[in-house]
Amino acid sequence: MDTAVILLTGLIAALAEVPELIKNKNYKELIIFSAFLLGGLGIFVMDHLGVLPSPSKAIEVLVQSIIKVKFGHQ
Amino acid sequence: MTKKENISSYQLLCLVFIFLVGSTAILQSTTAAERDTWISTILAIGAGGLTIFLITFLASRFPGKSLIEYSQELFGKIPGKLLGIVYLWYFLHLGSLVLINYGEFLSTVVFPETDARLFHLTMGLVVAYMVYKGIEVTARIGEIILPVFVGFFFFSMLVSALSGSAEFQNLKPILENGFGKMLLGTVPIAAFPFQELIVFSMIIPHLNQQTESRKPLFMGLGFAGFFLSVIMIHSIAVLGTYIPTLVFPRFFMIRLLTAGPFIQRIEPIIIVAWIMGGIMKVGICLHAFVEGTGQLLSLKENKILVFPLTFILIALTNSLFKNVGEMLNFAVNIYPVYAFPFQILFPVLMVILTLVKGKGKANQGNNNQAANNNGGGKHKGI
Repeated sequence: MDTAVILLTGLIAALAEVPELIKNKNYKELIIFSAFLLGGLGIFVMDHLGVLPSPSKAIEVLVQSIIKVKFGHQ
Repeated sequence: MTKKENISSYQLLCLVFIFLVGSTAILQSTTAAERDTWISTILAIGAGGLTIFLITFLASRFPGKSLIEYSQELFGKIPGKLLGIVYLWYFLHLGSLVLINYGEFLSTVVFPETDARLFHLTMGLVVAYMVYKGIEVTARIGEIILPVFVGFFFFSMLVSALSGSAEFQNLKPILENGFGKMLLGTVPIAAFPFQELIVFSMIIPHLNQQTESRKPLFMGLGFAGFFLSVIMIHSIAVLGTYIPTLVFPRFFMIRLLTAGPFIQRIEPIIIVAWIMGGIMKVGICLHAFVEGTGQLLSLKENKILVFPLTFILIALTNSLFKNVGEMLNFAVNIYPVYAFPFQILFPVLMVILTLVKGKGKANQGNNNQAANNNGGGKHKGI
């Protein structure tokens, strides 16, 4: 469900931005906008399919290889 | 060239206050310092002061420039851009950590039947709209939210006082586990939330009086620090040593407060204030991320990036943690070490480089010209 909302939002954002960018001939901005929009939607679809890796585990392993301190109760 | 947006000193103070109190209010719990965590909180304000000192020093040497821009001047073009990318990751990650705090909080205790993804999506899109409208709008919302925020907190204090639930004997014995444990317990509180003020190095260039950036930041820090210390003392006084057994201590405490026969279950009012604070905090992080990306790519218009980058933020938030336990463990035990380079190491390095190279001096008192170059990244004649 949330993926559908995101895709719709992406479509609305594209409809709002692209005509003005083409009118003002901001082709660099247009390319960057398209790349980021497709990238963002792609990452969201990856998350929807459950294939987006979580960075938390890697950060945890990295931090604990440097220093092992417990600041809390757990 | 993007239109220069300005915020006033008072608005910056509001943003600092809400940024610091925002998500801390729900997650605040005792650390290794146990019942001395309130002393740790007071000490941690000093750590926040250090961060403010670093970013305002850099802002005074490079007026009108953000962290992403002066890092390129200090380290050179390529290493500066790499450092910029590292900081962009930090702003993104910080934003999604705050967002997941709210998602997990709401889906764990307030709406147990609802998936956290729904809260990430709805809050994320509201934040995106706010950031799309610009920093001026964000600052004005902060101005409106601050009195509401403070008022609701005083309301909870008043109900607590009427119910007579606070036992100040719970604060004793002071320093029962020794001074070392208390200092150890200071570290996570310094890292979250006080030193996260590094994000404001992206907001300071919008201040209308560049030379006066230190005062609102320190005042915001002072108020927020006082506030957080008071609610920490309050939580310890009410709950005592039960705090470590609770997931969201402040929420459970407020839910149990009862004053007389009719004032009870006041937590929906407090949740409203907390969600406002969360939206502001994610908004400030997202603003820093969007603006930094725009400056790194030297775009004419930053706001086109808002929605695409919000999608990345929400997707990252969905994938971060599987449950509340992982989130709390990360926030207390992993985050302080992970955030150390971003919060202290790189800024200190930049200050030392500024002093050694003697950069930025010639540009002092020439704010307008530097401000106009904001976002261009091509004028490097300093």
